Amino acid sequence: MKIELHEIPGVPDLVGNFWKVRVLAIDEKSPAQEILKEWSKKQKNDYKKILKALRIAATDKDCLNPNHVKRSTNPKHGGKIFEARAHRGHARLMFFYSLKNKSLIVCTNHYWKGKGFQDHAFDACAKFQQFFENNYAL
Amino acid sequence: MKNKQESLPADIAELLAATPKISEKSLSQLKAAAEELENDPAFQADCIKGLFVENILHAMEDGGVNKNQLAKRLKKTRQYINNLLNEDKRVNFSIETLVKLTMALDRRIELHVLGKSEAAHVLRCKAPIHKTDTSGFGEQTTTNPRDVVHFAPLVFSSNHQIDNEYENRLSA
Repeated sequence: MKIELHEIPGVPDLVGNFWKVRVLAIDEKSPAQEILKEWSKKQKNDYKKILKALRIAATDKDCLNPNHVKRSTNPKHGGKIFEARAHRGHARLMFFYSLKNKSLIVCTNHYWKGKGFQDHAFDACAKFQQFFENNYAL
Repeated sequence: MKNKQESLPADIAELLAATPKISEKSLSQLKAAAEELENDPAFQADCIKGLFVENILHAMEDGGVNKNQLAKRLKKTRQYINNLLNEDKRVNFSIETLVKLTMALDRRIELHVLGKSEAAHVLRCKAPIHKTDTSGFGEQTTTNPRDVVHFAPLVFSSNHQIDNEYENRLSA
């Protein structure tokens, strides 16, 4: 399986940022990138808010504003799974931090508030994280 | 790459199966959307506002200042601070507001107008920077109340320049 990280257009690697933001792609498929494309067409307000949240999250080691980044409170996730939030919107983009190779925020999948279960989305992100950490080649 | 790769959990494999492959078309759609945002003043302003609030939250944490204490220092209500930190539209994010807020946290604020290809970088280091900058970058060092962190805002026109200057400052 081919595991890759792709840049997100609109979330540049700025000088001084602590993290680089990427989407995870496995065998050229990236649920995170696909949903960003969908939101950019059909949910523009939420798309803008997610990009803003990711830009803020990239700047410092921890994002302190719970309007933009929230950590999964499920003890099963060990405090390592997060969501970027569209404040006052519905879009959520699940991610984890990784220090593999370089400092990365790796976006994996999404959740739309009011549809489905948030904890399932966090679970999926945790599985992506485990797979990534065990298999991504430096 | 490891010799033996783990297999994907079933639900993740299912999610990937339902996801189309990344195509040039979808990438160019994303790039076009991002370019649109780059030229959207409302979006850019919103991001700057969000970053400012994030910086304030860090300054509050560093200084051990809570919302009530900040409200008291600013002679405002706790509700005002909440609205401000929530980027509420009712709060006027004027330069005056930003300056008052940073001063209440024993910080200062600087604005730089940059060229599109320029980058600004604030170098924070534990040791004071004594070396006088003669390269024309206009280094400014300030002392914060705890006398441990010095800020040196820099503006560069290329990444190469940043790397060199960063190395110089670290070795100074």
